[in-house]
Amino acid sequence: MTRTAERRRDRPAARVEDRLLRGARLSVLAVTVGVQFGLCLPTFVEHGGRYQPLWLEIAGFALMAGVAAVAAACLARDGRIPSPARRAGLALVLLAAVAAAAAAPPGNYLDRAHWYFGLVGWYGVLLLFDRPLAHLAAFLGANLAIALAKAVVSGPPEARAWAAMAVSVVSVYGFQLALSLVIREVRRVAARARQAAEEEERFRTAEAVAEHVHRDHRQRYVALLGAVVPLLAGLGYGSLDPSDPEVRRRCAQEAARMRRLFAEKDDVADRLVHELRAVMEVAEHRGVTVRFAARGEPRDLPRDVRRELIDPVAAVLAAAVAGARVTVVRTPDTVRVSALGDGPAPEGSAAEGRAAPRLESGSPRVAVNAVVAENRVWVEAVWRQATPSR
Amino acid sequence: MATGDAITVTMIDDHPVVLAGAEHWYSTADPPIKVVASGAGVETAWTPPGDTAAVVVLDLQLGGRPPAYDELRRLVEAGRQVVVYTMRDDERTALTCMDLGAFTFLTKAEGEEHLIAATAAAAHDRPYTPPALAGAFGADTAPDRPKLSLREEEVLIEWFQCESKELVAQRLGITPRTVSSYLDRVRVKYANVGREARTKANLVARAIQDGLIDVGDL
Repeated sequence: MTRTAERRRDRPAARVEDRLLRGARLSVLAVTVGVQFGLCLPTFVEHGGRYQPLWLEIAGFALMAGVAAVAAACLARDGRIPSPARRAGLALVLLAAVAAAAAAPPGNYLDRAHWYFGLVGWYGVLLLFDRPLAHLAAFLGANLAIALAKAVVSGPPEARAWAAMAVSVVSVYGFQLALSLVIREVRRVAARARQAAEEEERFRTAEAVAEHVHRDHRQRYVALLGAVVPLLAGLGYGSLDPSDPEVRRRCAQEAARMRRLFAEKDDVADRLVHELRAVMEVAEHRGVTVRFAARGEPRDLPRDVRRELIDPVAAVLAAAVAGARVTVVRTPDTVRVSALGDGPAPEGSAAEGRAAPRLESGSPRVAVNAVVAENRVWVEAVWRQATPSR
Repeated sequence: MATGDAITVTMIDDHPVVLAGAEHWYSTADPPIKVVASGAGVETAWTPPGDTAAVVVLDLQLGGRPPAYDELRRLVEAGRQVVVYTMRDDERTALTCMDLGAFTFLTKAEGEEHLIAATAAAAHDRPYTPPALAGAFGADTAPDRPKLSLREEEVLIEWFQCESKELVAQRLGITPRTVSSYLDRVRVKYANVGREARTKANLVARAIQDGLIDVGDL
């Protein structure tokens, strides 16, 4: 039970977080691809004649597009980009930036032909989605270094150009860093949502368990109510005489039943035998020698079936005076519980000879039959596995 | 093998009280059964005077060691008629003993009546199936178990449950004699599928001779 319950508990909670983060990642991917093909590609085509050599610039562009495609595949498959792919992606993007910068016309990134400058930052945001902000800052720094190297190699820019470049860096990379901060906040919200969902699931499970336990208690109480309460009341008000053998027999029987109900709560491998032992112990405390033997492999039976198998045995044991034999026989299709006691026949069993099997209502198939002879009573309860034809 | 008319028994058990009690039961049996040797170890059955007794009654649990299956097998291989008499009350032990060729399997809880009857049956090669063994046969699910009729299975389980052939007879509407013959037939069927041993040969031969079972049934 525990494994499935745990899985069930984790599922909706984790799904909340998954959905939020997956949505955010896909948005960043869409922006990146949109920027590359919607903004950069037209500029690239427009300035196509200025690149030297053109193939290197195309290679840089294609390399970045390839990284975006692999990232999209990773996100589609498991909703995240694995670490090795991320590291390879970052390296390739920087390589693409170097290629694009090398083939770009001399000058700096204020020139629109230097399309890669802003785009690389978007790749950083995409690939470093769930990494600390410092990683993105370092990546952007590396990209800036490439762009500056290109600018300086082309001939040092004048002071005004430097100022314009600084403004551009702040506006482009500053926006990307800010966006990364927003993503961090989304991640935090997602984690909180998952925690809340988990909490709620746990609460719901606890509630279901409590309800089940309560129902169980009520059922046990109802099972006792009909017989134990009148008995206790009768003894309390003096309307029942404790020296009357019949009253004592009823007390013994109810004690056994209560003991069995308590035993139902225990966690044991062979429940039927465990609960039978509980009933036998009560008889033993009254001085009845109970001999017990079991044959066949233990098997699981529903609680109601176990009750119906044990109750007739409890009745025989309650009536037994000196000795009783209790047996359990389990074959592949049947479970047979029998009790042979030396007392008078319990109520409801046949007066003598072979009793007609009685099919208990409410349980699949428990038949009880009794034989009374030579001051002995022998009761057997048989559960038969329902045949497939039924 | 027998001194006079009395059945001779070698008794092996590591509890002196059990030996003394069983010896007393045997001495008051009718006809009397003579315990020619008794002791806490299996060597009692291999050395005079214990080596000539008609029946060996063997406790499986000797001196806290694992069950004496090897000792049982050696006795059976030497052609001894062995009644296993043990505290262990489970079908695995019972069926293992049958498989090794024991004549019958008796739990100590089953008491005087069964011990004497089983010993007498062993001496005369007549099958004997006490309730503990019947329960083991009834719950046996081994693929190589002999084929039993529904009635035979019913008798096995009810005999195990109530230990009274009269009650079983009453329940099933047959005579106690018929109950016995069902039990005997099952035992012979088990002997027939079991390993070659004196017990098997004699049980099957005797059963056919007594008309308990037909050659065609086997």
